[in-house]
Amino acid sequence: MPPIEAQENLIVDVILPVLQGIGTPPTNWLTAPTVVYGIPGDSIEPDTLFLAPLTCVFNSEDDELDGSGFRGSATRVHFALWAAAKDVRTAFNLLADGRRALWAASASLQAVAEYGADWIDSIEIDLERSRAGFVLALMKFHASPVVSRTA
Amino acid sequence: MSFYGASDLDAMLAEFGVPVVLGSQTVDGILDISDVGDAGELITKQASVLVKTGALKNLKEGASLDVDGKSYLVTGTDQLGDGATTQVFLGPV
Repeated sequence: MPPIEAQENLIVDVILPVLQGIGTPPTNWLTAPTVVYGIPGDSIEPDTLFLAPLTCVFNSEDDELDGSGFRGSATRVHFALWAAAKDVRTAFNLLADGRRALWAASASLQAVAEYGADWIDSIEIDLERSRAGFVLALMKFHASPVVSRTA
Repeated sequence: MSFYGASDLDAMLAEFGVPVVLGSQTVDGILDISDVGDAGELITKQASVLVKTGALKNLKEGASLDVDGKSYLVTGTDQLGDGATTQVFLGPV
């Protein structure tokens, strides 16, 4: 039997192409960002702000609890979507596009995350960078794959 | 208003400063560009220029400033220490 790719990677393989399609027809998107997987090592230049990078990164993993509090055999794979823009309105539009892309990927994501996909955990705005002419918005979401028990 | 040691500032700004232009006014200021953000976050560039407080009339958020030949938008100002100098935060135009 061929080795099975890590579930986290399978999820990324589904959502990354969808996010990278933001800004391309035929869908009417609000933004046309550059999408990068992972946090870039280099700092973002103000002069390239119009590119509005959208970054997706794996955060952490924990056990899934069912409604009665029992631990199940699913995990939550957490992601964060960073949006950088010149103003709050554009930052929110970036996240809105990100959300739409994730919803559009729901069916495909279900194949690798059987317990559901795209649950939005929180949306935060980092105004600390506003004096640099940036608004950073952060949307955390997770997908819930079943833990593979295959030896 | 005068500040203790303010006369030394002119020499310092003349030595290390670059031209800062606001409208028809030109003064010397020290340009700093640093990275902001922690590991695991998006790191962004923060530009600022240090000028003598009161040296530039009508310096305020939203003003257009040329620093060393490059155009910026003023995103805020902080008067530092005893108030003799002001750090002007700069964003893209």
